[in-house]
Amino acid sequence: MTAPAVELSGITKRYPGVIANDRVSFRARFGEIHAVVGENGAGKTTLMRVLAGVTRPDEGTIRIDGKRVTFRSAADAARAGVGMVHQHFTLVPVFTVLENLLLGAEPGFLPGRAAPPEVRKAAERLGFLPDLDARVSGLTVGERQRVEILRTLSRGARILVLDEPTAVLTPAETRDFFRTLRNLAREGHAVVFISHRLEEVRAASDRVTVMRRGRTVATLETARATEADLARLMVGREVLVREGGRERRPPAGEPALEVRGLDLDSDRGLPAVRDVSFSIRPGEVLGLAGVMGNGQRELVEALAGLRRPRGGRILLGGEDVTGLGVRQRLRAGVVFVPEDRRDQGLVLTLSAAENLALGAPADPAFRGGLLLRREPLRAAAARWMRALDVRPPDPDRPVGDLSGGNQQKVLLARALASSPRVLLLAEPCRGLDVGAIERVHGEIRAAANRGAAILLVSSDLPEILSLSDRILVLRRGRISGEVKAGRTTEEELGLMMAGGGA
Amino acid sequence: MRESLRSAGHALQVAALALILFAGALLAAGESPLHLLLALLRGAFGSRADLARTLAGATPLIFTGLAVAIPFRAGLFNIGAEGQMILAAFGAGAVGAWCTGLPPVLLLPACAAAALAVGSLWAGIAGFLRGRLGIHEVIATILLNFLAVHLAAYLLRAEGLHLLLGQEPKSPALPDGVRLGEIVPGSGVGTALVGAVLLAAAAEFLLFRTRPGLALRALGGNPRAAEAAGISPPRVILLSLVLGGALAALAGLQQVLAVHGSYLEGFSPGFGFTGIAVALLGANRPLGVVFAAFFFAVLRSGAFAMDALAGVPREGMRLVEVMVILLVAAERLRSRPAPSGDEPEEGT
Ligand SMILES: Nc1ncnc2c1ncn2[C@@H]1O[C@H](COP(=O)(O)OP(=O)(O)OP(=O)(O)O)[C@@H](O)[C@H]1O
Ligand SMILES: [Mg+2]
Repeated sequence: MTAPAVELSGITKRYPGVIANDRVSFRARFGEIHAVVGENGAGKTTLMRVLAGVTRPDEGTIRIDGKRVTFRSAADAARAGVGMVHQHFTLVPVFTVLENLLLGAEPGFLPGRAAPPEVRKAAERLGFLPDLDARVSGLTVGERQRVEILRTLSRGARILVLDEPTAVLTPAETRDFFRTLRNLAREGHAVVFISHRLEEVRAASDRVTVMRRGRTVATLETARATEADLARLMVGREVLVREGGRERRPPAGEPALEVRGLDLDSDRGLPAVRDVSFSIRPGEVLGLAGVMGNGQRELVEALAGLRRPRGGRILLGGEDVTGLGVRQRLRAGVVFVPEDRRDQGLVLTLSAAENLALGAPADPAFRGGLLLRREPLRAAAARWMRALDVRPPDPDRPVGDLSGGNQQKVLLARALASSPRVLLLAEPCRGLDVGAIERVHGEIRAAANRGAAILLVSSDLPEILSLSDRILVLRRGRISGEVKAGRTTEEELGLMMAGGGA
Repeated sequence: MRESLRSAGHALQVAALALILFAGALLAAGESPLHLLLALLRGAFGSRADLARTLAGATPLIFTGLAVAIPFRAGLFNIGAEGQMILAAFGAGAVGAWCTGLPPVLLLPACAAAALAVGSLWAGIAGFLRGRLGIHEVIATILLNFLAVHLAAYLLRAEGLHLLLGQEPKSPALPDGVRLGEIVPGSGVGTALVGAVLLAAAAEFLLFRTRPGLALRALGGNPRAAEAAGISPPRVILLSLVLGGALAALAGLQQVLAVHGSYLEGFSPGFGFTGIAVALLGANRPLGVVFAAFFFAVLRSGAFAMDALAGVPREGMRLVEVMVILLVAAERLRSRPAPSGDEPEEGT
């Protein structure tokens, strides 16, 4: 038996007030796809960052291919053959693919336009050679991710670590992505990835390691574990699928939000949305399905007041608000949860309480004149953090210190604390664990029951199907179909998104 | 409060490290660092007059340090404190010269108002350019610095303004009644110094206890998220630079009212630029700035003595200033805190 590709033992990493990793052991083999699962804040990212040399552990040892190593930096880890693809890509958008591949590579000059041999070899193994002269800003998310993987491989990585790689991919991209991973495993690489989607873990991995509260609790052959087994190990007890909180009151009354003939341009001035009209009544959840990049982002930004329409009108409770900015719309009760929490969502350097105060939600604790009333603010923030089970529920900690999923919960807490009249949700459950998704879905239904008109943009079709009353399909910036949620299936929606069907 | 203590402690470490490096350089050059350090301390604290000079020297640096630190919190680099201060000082001197008819109780506020108006206007130009037109504030403030120096020189000599009376390049002396004095005579603790420290406390309050302060820090932390939360970036950019300009103006005002008694051309040995080092060493915390200003004041004040007693040129202390800047910058690059999230790095 050869030595395992990766052997972590006794890894401990403490942060002030938290033990992120508590004497963790972890092994992965060459030739396997190894999934890492666990609740939000369980310590998955921390462990992977230790493996990739990004974070230095307080205690514990790392062996790569049987050899004991100490990583002082990600570059050290790269030399030992470990490469990490972070969830937020590190490519430079204005550079071409080739420039990005060469950036920071060993020789300090650019060898003309041809792909250097290590890039070509890596591309062969990956089964994907991108257009090297294309600018990264013009690539889809899936393509960017593969360029990122290609870069890691061309630096000689034999152990590939990916943090929630599928969170930003479409279902079709996800299938391609796992096919790529399989190629790499066959070529003898060790592939380790984090995911919250148990069905894809079941379908794509050979083994799976479960983490709970900073420790690894089990490593299993995937074939022998059911989703229920994994869920139980993650939570530490039997998981009951709660059917509570599913009741919905029927929508009623005049439309809270109305969009008439909206025309929007993308950041680059190209048509993004054309002649879109719809309305949402109080208490109604309108799902917006569609392959990402078909105008969804532009549409929610326009509704939030962040993007000026080229034409058309936006009405709130019958009043024209097309010309109003973000602040005035917030006052009118329009609340926006952007798809990328780190981009338009949170200020990571500020505390959770400050982030909640920033959106000036309707909770009286957050309002007030020029002065920040700290105590009520902290108390209210803590209350909302507990309501969404943010761990740890500390209102004073910088939000950047929270795990990815817990950051997402803070962002949602801010929106819910605003008692919105119109709630614009873009990918609200990105990065959340299964339990948190249940909870957030319950909160979304509750908000609808309280009379909010909700627009839900999601690339997760089951989510759209389970929450929406009606579903619109957006394709190339136009509404290509509308269905009642109870009367359609994932397949039918998928067809409509791809351009077939009604 | 705990955080400000921590930032002060941290500043102390950086300062000590810079001094140690300097000492090392001296050793290498065959000088005795201990001898030198003693000379430095003697120069800064040795006599009542030395102490007074040190304290007086800290005053403008607190103002210019704040003038840099506050915009920095909003993510803006105010290189222009020097120009804002010079032009504001000129404004105060000019108003003082033109309105001699006013009684001192009115003349003093008039001078102050002139300085504040000129300083915040000058910085506000950069704020407008950045917020509305997207012109980078570093470029704008650097250009405005040049412009300020030449504008003040031109206006001082302009025929119709009647400012240049004698041979010296300065405005007419202000009446005694409008001079800012010392609270305890001969101690260096001037009204302006007390004002500066109180103002730092007020700035701390503004940044961390008020909504505009929160908006300012949010913009500095993540402009896109701030905008999506309803903050208007152009407005906050303008606000933070105008505040910076007003603070720089107070440095100029202090120089006119408390030190020279008139606008004196070339009065500044670079208070505005040292303000950058002060803000960095003070970790952009107002109370940290007060501490850092004293540190630099000690260096400057002690440098005279080092020159005289130990024969080390004054420029040596400039070296320490530069080292502080480099150390702070290097540290930022190194310890870019990596937030957990799912991502490698994020500057703060
Ligand atoms: N830089 C940091 N400073 C302070 N605490 C941190 C830091 N990084 C991580 N933590 C804490 O360590 C714990 C584990 O975080 P980690 O990011 O590893 O979780 P995770 O399993 O990846 O969760 P998620 O599924 O939400 O991404 C969390 O409690 C988090 O708050
Ligand atoms: Mg994570």
